[in-house]
Amino acid sequence: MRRIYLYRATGIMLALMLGAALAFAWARSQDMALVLLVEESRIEAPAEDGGDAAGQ
Amino acid sequence: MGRTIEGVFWVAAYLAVILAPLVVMMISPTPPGRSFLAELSVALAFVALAQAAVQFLLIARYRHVTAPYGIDIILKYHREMGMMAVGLLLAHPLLLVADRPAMAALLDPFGGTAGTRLGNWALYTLVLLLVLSLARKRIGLGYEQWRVSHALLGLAGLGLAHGHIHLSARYAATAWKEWVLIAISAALVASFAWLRLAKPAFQFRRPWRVAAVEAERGRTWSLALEPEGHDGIEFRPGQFAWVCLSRTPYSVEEHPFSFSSSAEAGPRLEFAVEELGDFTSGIGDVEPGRRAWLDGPHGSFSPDRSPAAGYVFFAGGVGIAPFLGMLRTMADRGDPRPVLLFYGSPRWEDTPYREALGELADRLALTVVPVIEEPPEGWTGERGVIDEALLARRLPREGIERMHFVCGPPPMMDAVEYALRARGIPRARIRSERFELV
Repeated sequence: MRRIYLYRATGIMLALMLGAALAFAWARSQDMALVLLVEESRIEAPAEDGGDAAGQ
Repeated sequence: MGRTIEGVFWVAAYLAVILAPLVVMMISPTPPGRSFLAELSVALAFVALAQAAVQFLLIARYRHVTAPYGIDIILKYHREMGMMAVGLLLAHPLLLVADRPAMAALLDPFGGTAGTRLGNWALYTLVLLLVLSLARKRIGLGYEQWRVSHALLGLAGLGLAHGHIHLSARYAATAWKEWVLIAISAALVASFAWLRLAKPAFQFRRPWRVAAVEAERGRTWSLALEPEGHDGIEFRPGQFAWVCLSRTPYSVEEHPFSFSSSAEAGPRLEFAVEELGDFTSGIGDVEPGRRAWLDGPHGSFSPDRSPAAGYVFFAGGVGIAPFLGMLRTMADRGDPRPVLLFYGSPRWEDTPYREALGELADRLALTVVPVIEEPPEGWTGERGVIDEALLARRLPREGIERMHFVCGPPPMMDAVEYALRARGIPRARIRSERFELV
């Protein structure tokens, strides 16, 4: 009988894994990232008037 | 921690480990995003990698992991997750090729870059592992040879996959991310190393000795072991141990056998062993005095874990072993609860332990119903196999809640479980244990 629960658990696991993989793929294809641990360095864009780019 | 809470905890931990690589790879800095299919391919590969690594923990026989579900279910889960992991790994190159057909050239195991070659080899190694597991009996691969090849191919596949990730240097270009992946795999492989390296070292200090090997009916043997220089082990009736009769506990030749002796009788242990395969066919030649090693007790197939007002046991062939242990324990404890035992056997004269069961019936509120496929002349008992019609006639209707335990050959177990469900027995009142996996 526990096999019934096993098959259900396997199905749920597969669904969760595929769901997470699809979410990852969607987020990455949108080029999104979690900014949790690493503080991103900020680089200011060059001024339109041709001035030096700050912070470089 | 209660069994249910433990069970939920391990499922959550399993998911956390499986999905950890995806979370890690989402943390900035990340490589430039690519198409949906290419990123999905990568995601499935990371999930499969973690899944492959967790496989090592699943077979490491940790009691905390196995107790909530039963070790047979954990091994079956290991098998199903293994198939799923290889399936997800196969999807990795296929999705890349679907995204960019030119990538098909990279599937050449001897072409492409070192990184793609390692990826291909990892994939082929794990596919070979799966094929050997599914076709072991058909291709005549011995159980021991299969076990060694299974472990080596699994380790090689995991190592090659990490090499592929390292050399591909895309998501793992950030060193700490690659180290997280390596740490996850290393920790899980270490659990397997514990089983194969550290645990035998402890077993060396607790040797056992074969005290007797006695022939029973139906090509079955009673194997008795006694501890040497220690107090033995405590176990619950219905549990089992992996028994190794080699010179050292590092041998791959070990087999799970249920305790058929009373849990109250110790320290001498008894097991019922039927001549079935390469190892068990030589059990009658084992000399008393031979050194033995035990890994156990294991298993959750025990009335001690499933208290009830009464029990119904269903045994087929050597599946009688755990029930012998349960009944002998109940007799030693003076347990007054009613037990009904359905015992399926091909022939009455080959029915092992029928005399021992007769003696137990005198000491317990035990009713034994032998169900014989080819009964002798003049047989007035049940004949055929245990099916719904038999249960309709013989299942008690006294109104007390009994727990039903099933152990025997897989077809018999399927039939009994189906018949019990058809008779309206709730799943929660049915316990079973099966070990025929490869």
